[in-house]
Amino acid sequence: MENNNRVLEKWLIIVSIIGLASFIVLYRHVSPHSSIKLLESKQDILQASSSILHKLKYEPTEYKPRIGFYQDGKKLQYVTSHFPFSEAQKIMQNDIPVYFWNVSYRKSAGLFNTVDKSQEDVEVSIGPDGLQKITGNLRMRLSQDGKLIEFDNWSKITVSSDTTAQADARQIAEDAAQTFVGPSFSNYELQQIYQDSTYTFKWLADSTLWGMKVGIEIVVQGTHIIRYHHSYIPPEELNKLQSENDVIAILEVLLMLIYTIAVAFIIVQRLRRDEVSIRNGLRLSIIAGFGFVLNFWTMTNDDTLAGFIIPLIFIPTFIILSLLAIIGAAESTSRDIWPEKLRSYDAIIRIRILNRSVARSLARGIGLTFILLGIFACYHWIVQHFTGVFYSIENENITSIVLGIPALSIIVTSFSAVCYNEFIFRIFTLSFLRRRLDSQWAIVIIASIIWGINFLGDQYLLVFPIQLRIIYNFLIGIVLCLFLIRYDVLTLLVGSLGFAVFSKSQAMLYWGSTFHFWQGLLPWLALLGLIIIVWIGLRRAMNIDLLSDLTPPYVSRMNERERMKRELEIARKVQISFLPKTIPEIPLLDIATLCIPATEIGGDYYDFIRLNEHQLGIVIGDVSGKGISAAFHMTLAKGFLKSQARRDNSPREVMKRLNELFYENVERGTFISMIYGIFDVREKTFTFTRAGHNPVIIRSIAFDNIEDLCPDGIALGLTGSDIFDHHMEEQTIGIRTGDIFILYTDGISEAMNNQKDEFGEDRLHKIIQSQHRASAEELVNYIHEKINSFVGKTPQHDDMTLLVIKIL
Amino acid sequence: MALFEVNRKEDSEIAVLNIKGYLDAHTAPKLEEEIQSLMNEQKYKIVVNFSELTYISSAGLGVFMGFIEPIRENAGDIKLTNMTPKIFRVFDLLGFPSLYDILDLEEDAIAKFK
Repeated sequence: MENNNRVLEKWLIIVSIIGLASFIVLYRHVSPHSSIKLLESKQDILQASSSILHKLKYEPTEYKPRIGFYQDGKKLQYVTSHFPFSEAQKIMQNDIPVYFWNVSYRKSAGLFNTVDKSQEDVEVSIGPDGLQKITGNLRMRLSQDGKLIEFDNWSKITVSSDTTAQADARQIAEDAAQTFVGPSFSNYELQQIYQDSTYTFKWLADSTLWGMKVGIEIVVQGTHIIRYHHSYIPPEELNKLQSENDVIAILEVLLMLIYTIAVAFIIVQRLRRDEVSIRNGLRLSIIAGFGFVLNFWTMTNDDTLAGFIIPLIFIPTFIILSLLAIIGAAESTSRDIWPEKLRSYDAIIRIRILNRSVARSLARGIGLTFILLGIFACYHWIVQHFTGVFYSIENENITSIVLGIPALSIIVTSFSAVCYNEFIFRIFTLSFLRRRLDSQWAIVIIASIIWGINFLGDQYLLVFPIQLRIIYNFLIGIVLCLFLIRYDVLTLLVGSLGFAVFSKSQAMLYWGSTFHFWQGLLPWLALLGLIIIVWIGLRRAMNIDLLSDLTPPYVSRMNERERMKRELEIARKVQISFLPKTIPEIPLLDIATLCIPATEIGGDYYDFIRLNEHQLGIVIGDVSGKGISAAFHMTLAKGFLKSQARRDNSPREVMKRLNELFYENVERGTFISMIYGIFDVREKTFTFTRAGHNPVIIRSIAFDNIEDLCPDGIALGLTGSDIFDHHMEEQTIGIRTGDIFILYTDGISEAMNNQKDEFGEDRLHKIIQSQHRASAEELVNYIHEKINSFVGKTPQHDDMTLLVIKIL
Repeated sequence: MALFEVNRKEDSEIAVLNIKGYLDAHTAPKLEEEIQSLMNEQKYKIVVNFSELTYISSAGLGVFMGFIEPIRENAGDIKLTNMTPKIFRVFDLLGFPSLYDILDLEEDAIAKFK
């Protein structure tokens, strides 16, 4: 499609602005994540958790706390499926801890040890201050604002503490509940007490909270609480999403498998042709791999081998290698189809940023981002208002967008995801389809359906029921595909990256934490920077010369292959256009023809020349060599023959003149074998000459036999007039009703099967003898069938031409 | 993939080329190169032994035509020997026997040169 010369079409500007506006206005009201309310920082949470521990009379020594931020899928599902979304947001913020902190304390194990919970040695001692000093596993869940939801002490405590009376244990539990629940604890009623080596107390609140039963369970051992659970129980069993997840998983794996095979196949094929460049892919994949390492570094508080070395070595290696293959395959495939779409992409990868080409793609990419964000916001708003949509996710760890440097984390993960998704599902898929399908709409729709059923797309926010998610993915897919088809690769990548980043980062503006507010603002500042780059780039009048130094060298090899392919197509067209379109109708002659060009064009040629009412000139020839040169020489031969045939009535004279012209005008080494003859239906004769061609086969009705007619003669172009003329013999034979004349090229007699046996002249003779009552056309079809069944699936290596003339 | 091979053996001023396999548009340059290098060495008496050749295409035939004129101008020749009946038929149909010395045996060709 032609690239509009204006930087941004009007419609694009208008739709982008609408998209941006709806995103800014609606986001806060439609995204579950915008209801997160956070304490200032990681430090605040650590402080809150250590103060809670102190209240529980624990004092951790030699601990390394690990913090994570999670969402509880079940609670999210319950709240969003039972309440209108705006209400659900308030519930999530104030009452039901859908989002929670997880703080676990484990003994620092050192780099090369893994921690096994059950086997860990536990040291417990009671200090003079009554605090239990413990080196073991503690875990607690805190609400967003730092209140205790759950506490577990998983350590096996072997030190027997003083046995406690039930009343004392209950006092300990009630004190704790008072502390953590506050005055509303008076609304709870004690339900059960268990006693074995420990005491378990269970309370239930007298009223439900948004339909959920709220309970407290406390387990006391000795003088300490080892379990505290504030639990929220939905009134009925929630729909199981597991079976749906299984289907998704199967589809995902299937799709992955298909694409892995396709990418591997293309990569191997292109590597063999030396048509893959890793230059661009290497830069992008190293950025992705390095980004992962950086992000991991800022977040991790794991110091075990499995938790530290594996992510830092294996994951980046995997990212780099897989992206290299994917980008290599996608680039190579698309350079075949639409090299112009990679120009600004090539430029930006080579860090040529300030120029018009790049600026234009960036501007359109920003437009694409806004449009996608608009679709995102409107889609969620519509489904929340008009359908029974709800959200869920299996206790998904969203630590990465809360801890560390959230903006960095979002950008890094989005960057990798965009590289995978766009290079596979847009650039590779569309190029692959484009090659095979003409209709642009067909390829956009097929690619979008594939994307629609690809659930790798959005793990961040899972919408249910699943159909809604497919429709959404499909819509997003359509827009992305259209932008690639209309604009270029850089537009697509920038648009998709912007979308991935903002759809996540925007939530941070509403979390009520200054740190996160700035993190949420960072992408906007980056966007501003991008706009300045666009502005400067557009001021640069000149497009940089992108063609010569930016295009990878393998492209010229690819162009060479494409050029040869086109040449062959031209040669084939020339050849086909030179063959007669109709067979002249001459009384008494029943003529049928067969001409099947080989993939690698040979130089077969046949023609009919109507000399007058009763004479028909007939020619069959085979030009040496293949491809465009054969087509060219055939043109020459045809021209020579047409000009000579009407001048002279003797095939011998025509042939002599033809050789003279050909020998003079064609380089040595090129020759044509040819038969030229004249059927005279008034005189009932066939007069012909043979210039080095396969003999004429005659099936004679009078003699009831088959004969090869092979008068002396040398192929055209082999030698000068002296020898040629001397050897050129003309033969005339009488024709009778029922006689059959067969002219053919060596493609017929030398047709090969997979055993490298040739079809041979004997077979041809036998077929003709057995079918001599057939019409010309029936005989041609019969011979064709026999050849086909002889060669089977062996590829045809030479043109095959067959002329059958039956005398009526 | 040795689809086609040329082996050269020299007997004083007469060079014998043993050709083997498939001689077509793709393999013809190999033979061209070999004959060209003989000409560069001023060796114009060439015998080509076809005994191990299984297939020849029109492009393969073209090789001999390309060189025959300059070689004959230098008082040399290309003599073709030991063709299988199938290969001979290809040459025969095209009228090569009137243009080239095609002999049954390599020794005959060598003797003829002497």
